[in-house]
Amino acid sequence: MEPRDAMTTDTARRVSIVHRPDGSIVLAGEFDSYAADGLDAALGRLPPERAAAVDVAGVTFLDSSALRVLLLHYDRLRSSGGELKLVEPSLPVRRLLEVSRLEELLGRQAPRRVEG
Amino acid sequence: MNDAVGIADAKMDAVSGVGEHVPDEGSRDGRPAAIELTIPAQARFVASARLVAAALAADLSFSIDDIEELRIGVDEALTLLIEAQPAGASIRVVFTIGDERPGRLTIEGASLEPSATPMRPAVDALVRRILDAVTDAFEVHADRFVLHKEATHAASSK
Repeated sequence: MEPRDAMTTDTARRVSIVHRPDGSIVLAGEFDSYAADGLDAALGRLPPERAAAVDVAGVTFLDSSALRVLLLHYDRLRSSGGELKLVEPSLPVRRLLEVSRLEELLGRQAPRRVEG
Repeated sequence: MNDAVGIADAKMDAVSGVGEHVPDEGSRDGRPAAIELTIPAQARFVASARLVAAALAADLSFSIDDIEELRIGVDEALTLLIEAQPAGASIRVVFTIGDERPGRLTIEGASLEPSATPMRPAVDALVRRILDAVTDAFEVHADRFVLHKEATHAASSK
């Protein structure tokens, strides 16, 4: 039997999170402080020492709360020899990464440290 | 206040030329207008403020990029204010269009519990960097915030 996607849809939080059998994650919807905990839980399922692609083409909003979660797991995976990379960034994702000067999350080099 | 009551209490009042949030001076293209949104100080209602901000910015012919930046700015400032409020607090968000100049949008958020003792909002480096980039000017205090945004195709102070 083919492995299936594991999908979490939270309409109250306006997001969906799909875990693909190949280990990638597909995010869709508005990821703000209200959705950050769910994102944290989903990314926490990513095994260390593996390269994980997070497809953010369907993300219609991203704020610093969700970005911090992505950075947290970016650091977690890198520290254990793995990798987390955002792929297919939508305009809202690209815009926030630009103004945050964290385009490195798109997979080119280590992100700059941001205190706080 | 429970969530259901909070939603029922959420109100949007469009007023023009009156009220403490509307400056006396008019604009060349008509009188300033203010739209008020009162929300429970909970993260789940930030999306409502983003929605109103985006709609008003579109009405002012902001570009897609400007609208996106405004959504980010409103979200970051309002999230900071909400995190600083005690449980059960409410926040009034006032969107004023055309104050001082046509095409300028001013957004003010204020706690409706002035007697409460809010925490100091944690405007860390990342949030400050974002707000600097996406607004023309902003202030964040323990009990209120103000941000200004003007369409980039219009005369900008930034």
